[in-house]
Amino acid sequence: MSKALLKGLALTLKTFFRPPVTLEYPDEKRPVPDRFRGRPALVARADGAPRCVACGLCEKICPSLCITVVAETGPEGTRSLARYRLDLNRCSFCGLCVEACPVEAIVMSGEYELASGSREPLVLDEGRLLAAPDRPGEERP
Amino acid sequence: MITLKVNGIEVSVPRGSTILQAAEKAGVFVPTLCHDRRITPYGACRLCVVEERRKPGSLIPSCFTPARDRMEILTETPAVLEAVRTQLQLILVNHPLECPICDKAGECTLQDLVIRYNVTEAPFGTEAFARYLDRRSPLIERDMTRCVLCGRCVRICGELQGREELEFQHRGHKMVVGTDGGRALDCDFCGLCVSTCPVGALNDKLFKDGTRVWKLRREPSVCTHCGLACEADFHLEEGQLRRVTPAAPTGNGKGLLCARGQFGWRAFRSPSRIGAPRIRRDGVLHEAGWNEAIAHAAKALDAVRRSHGAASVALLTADHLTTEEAAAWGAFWRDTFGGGPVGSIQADGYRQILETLAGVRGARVAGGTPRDLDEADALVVLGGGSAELHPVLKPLVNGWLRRGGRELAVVSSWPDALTRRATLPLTVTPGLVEDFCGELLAALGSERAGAPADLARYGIDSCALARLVGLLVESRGVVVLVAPEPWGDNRQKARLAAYLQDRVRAVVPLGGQVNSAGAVLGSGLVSDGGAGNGIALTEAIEAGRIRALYLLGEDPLEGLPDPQRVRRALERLDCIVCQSPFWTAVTDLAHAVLPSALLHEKRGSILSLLGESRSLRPVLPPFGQSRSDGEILPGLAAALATGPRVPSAPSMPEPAAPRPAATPAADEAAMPFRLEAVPSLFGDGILSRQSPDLEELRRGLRVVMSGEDFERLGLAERETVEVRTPAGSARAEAERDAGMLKGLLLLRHAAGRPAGLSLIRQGAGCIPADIVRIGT
Repeated sequence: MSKALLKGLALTLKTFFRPPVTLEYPDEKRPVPDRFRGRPALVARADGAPRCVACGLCEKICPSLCITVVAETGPEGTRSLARYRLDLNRCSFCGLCVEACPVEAIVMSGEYELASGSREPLVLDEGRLLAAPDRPGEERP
Repeated sequence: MITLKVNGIEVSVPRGSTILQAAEKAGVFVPTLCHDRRITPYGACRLCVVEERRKPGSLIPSCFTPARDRMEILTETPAVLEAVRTQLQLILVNHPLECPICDKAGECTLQDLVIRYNVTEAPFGTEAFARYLDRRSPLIERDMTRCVLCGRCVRICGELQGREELEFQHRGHKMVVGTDGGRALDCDFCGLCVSTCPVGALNDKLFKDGTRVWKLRREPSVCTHCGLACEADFHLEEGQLRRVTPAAPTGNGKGLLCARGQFGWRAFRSPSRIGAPRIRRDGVLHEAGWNEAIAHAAKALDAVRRSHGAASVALLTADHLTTEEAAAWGAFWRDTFGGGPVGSIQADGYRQILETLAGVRGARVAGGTPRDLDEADALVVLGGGSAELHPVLKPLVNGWLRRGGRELAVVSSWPDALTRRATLPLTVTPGLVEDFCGELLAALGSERAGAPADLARYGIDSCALARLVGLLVESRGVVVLVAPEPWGDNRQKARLAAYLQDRVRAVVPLGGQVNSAGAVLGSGLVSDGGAGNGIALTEAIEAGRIRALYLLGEDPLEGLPDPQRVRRALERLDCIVCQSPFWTAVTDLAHAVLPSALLHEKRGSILSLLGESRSLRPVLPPFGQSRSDGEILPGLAAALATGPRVPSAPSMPEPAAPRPAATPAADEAAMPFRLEAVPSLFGDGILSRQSPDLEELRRGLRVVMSGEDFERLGLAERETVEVRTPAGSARAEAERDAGMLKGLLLLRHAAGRPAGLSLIRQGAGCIPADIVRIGT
C-alpha cells in the first residue's frame, strides 16, 4: 500500500518540475490548427468590401439552412451583395459553404468563443462576418 | 403516319415530322440549344445530332431532318456522344464561365448540357471575347458576351412578333445579335426573346439580381391584362411574385405573352392598391371596418333607391370578376336594383358587339375557339387596333400566316400592326370605318355583292373591295375578328358581325377585358340601359335619370372623354360606391371605397375571348384587408334586402341611340389634321395603367404622324408638341411613322390622362386637329 502511495507521489514530484501543459485560458489561448473549423467568416477584398458575389450557392448547399443571401444590382450593374445573414444558432460548422463558394469569399475562421447569453447575438450579418480577428485565410489571394 | 425506331423504341409520327419530334414522342432525350417549338427549326447549334443504324458515321441534325419510314435512329453511340461533347466545348470557347453572377444559372440549357455531358474543362484555353453589353434599353438587358448565337431571339422576333428588332450583325467571330446601329431596344417589349434565350444573354431587368431560380415556386396562372387571358407562369419566392413568364409551349399552349403579361406584374402590388375600406364622413374619406363600410354604402344606396326608384342606380363593371362572381352580382342587381342600368366602360365596345351577336343567336356562344383561328383559311379583321388591344394576336396571326396560302384582310383607317402584315389591307378614310361596315352590310345583304355606292369617299381600291366581298361571300373557312373603336360607335360593325356569324366559320369580337366573355356569355351580367357608352351615361346623370353609381373596378373619370363634363356630372350624383383594387381618380369622389381583390387573389373561372375557359386559384396572398367581389356581395345584399322592396320605377324611355357628343365647329383651314385615338400596345385598362414599368414604356401621351408631316413641321424626334382639337389642347410627344397616311394623327395612351381625354369626344371617331410647336 505504501509502495503505491510512494509511486504516486514520485510521479507528482516528477511532474512538479516539468513545464505545465495547460494554458491559463482565457488569458492565454492555444493556436488553432490550420484546418480547424471555427465560425464561418467572409473574406474582404483589398477595398474592404466583401469578396462575395451573392451567387447564393452557400445558401443552397447549407444543410442546416442557416445562410440567407440577398443580392442587388451593384453600382457597376452586376450582381452584388446586399445582405448576408448567418445564423450561428443553426450552423453545424460543416464547412460545405466554404467548399461551394466559387470565389473563396467565405472561410472557416479560427474563432470558437461563441458562447452568448441570448440567441440574437448569434445571428451574424455581413458586417460581423467580415470583422473576425485572426482569421486564417484572410490574406489568401 | 410513319413508323420508326429511336434507340429501339418504336414510334409512329405523322409524315413530315422531324426526327427530334419522333425522339420526343419516344421519350428519348436529344440535346438541343437552338430549338424552340414555337419557331421553325434552324440547325445552328449542332447538338441534336443522331446516327442512323444503317449509315454509321454520318451524323444527322435531328431538329430539322424529316423522319422517314422504318428509320432506326441511335442517339447514344460513341460517335454522337463525342460530337456533342466537342460541340459543347466549342460553344464554351466563347462563353464566359460566370454562372455565379448570371441569373440564368439553374435553368440555363447550356449549363444543364455541360453537366449532363460531363464537360469539365475548356480544352481550347482561350478567353471569351468581350462583346457589347446593353443596359440602356428598358426592361431587357442584353449581354452579348454570354450569347451563343443560337439565333432563337432573332427568329422569334422576326417570325412570331414580326418586329425584326434583333438581327445578326458582323461576320465570323465578331458576330453578335443586335439592333440596327446598336441603338437601345425600341420595340413591342413582348419579352419573347427573353423567354426563348437558352443562356443568360437576354435578361429580364425586373428579375435581374433579385433572387435565384432555384428559390422560386412556379404557379401556373393566367394573365389578366386583356381578354385573351393567356396562360402564364407566376414565379414566387416565399409568397412574393418575382417574375411572370409565358407558360411552356406544350399541348395547346402557345407559350406567348406580351409586354403587359411579362412586365406588367408590378401592378399587382402597386402603391395605388387600396388596403382598407373607407367611408366619407363630413366630406373626408375615413378608414372604416368592413361592416361599417358596407352598411354605409348600403344606407346611401338604399336612400337613393327609396327616393328615386331602383332604376336610378347604375352598375359599371370592369369585367374583372370571375364568371361565378359575375353571375352572383347579376342576380343581386336584378333583384335589388331591377331595371338599374348595367354597363362597362373599358369593355363597352366588346359588349356592344358581343351582345348584338348573342342577341341574334339567343344564348348560344358567339365567340370562336382557338382552333378556329388555327384552321381558318382566311382572317378578316374589321376595325383597326386589334393587335394593339390584344398584343398576343400578333404572334398568333404571324404564326398562322407562316403556313402559307392564307389571306389576311384588315379593314382599318390607320396602319395598325395587323394591317402591316395583311395580304389584303383595306385602308378606309379616317372616321368612316363604321359607315363602310354599314355599306358593306347593305351590299352583302342585298346579294348585290357589288361595290358600295361611293368608293372614292372611303378611299378604297375597288379591286381590294371585290376580294374582300369575295372572301366574305364564298369561303366558309373565314374567321372574322371585330375590333371596336375606343370611345367610338360600333353598331354598324356589330350588325355586320351578326349578319356574318352564320355565314363564316366564326366571328370573334375583340376589345374585351379579362372576363368580359364570361360575364356576358357565362353569367348573364349583360349591359342594359346604355350605361356603358360614355355619352349616354353622362347624359343620363345630367338628366337625373341616374342618381347613384356602383363601380366594380371602373372609373368614368379616367376612362371617358371630356373629363371636365364627366366630373361635373359625377359631382351631381347622390352616391358613388367604388369597389376597386386601386385608387383611381374617381375614388376621391366616392362615398364608400371597398377594396376588392385582384383575380390572382381569388378562386373561380374565366372565359377568354377565344372561348377557352380557364380556372383560377389564388396565387398571391390577399392584399391588406381587401376582399374578393364575391365575399363583399353577401354583406351588401343582406343590408339592402331589409328595406321594403320598392317597385322599380316605370320603365324609362330608352335612351336614344348614342350620338356623337357635340364637338365645337372647327375651321378646316386652322385644323388641317384628323386625329384618331387608338388603343395602346401597353394596355389602356386600369390594371395595366398601374404598372410603373408599362408606364415607362408608354412615355406619356404620344401623337404619331407621317414622316412627311413630321418633316414639314420641322419636329425633332421625341419633341413635345401641343395638340389642339376643337375640344381642347394637350401636350404630347411627337413620333413619326413611315406607314402613316398624310394628314392623320394617332393619339396613343389617352386613357387615364385627363389631358389626352380632353382632346377627344365620345363617338366622334375622328376629330380635326392641329399641331403647334411649343415656343413658336
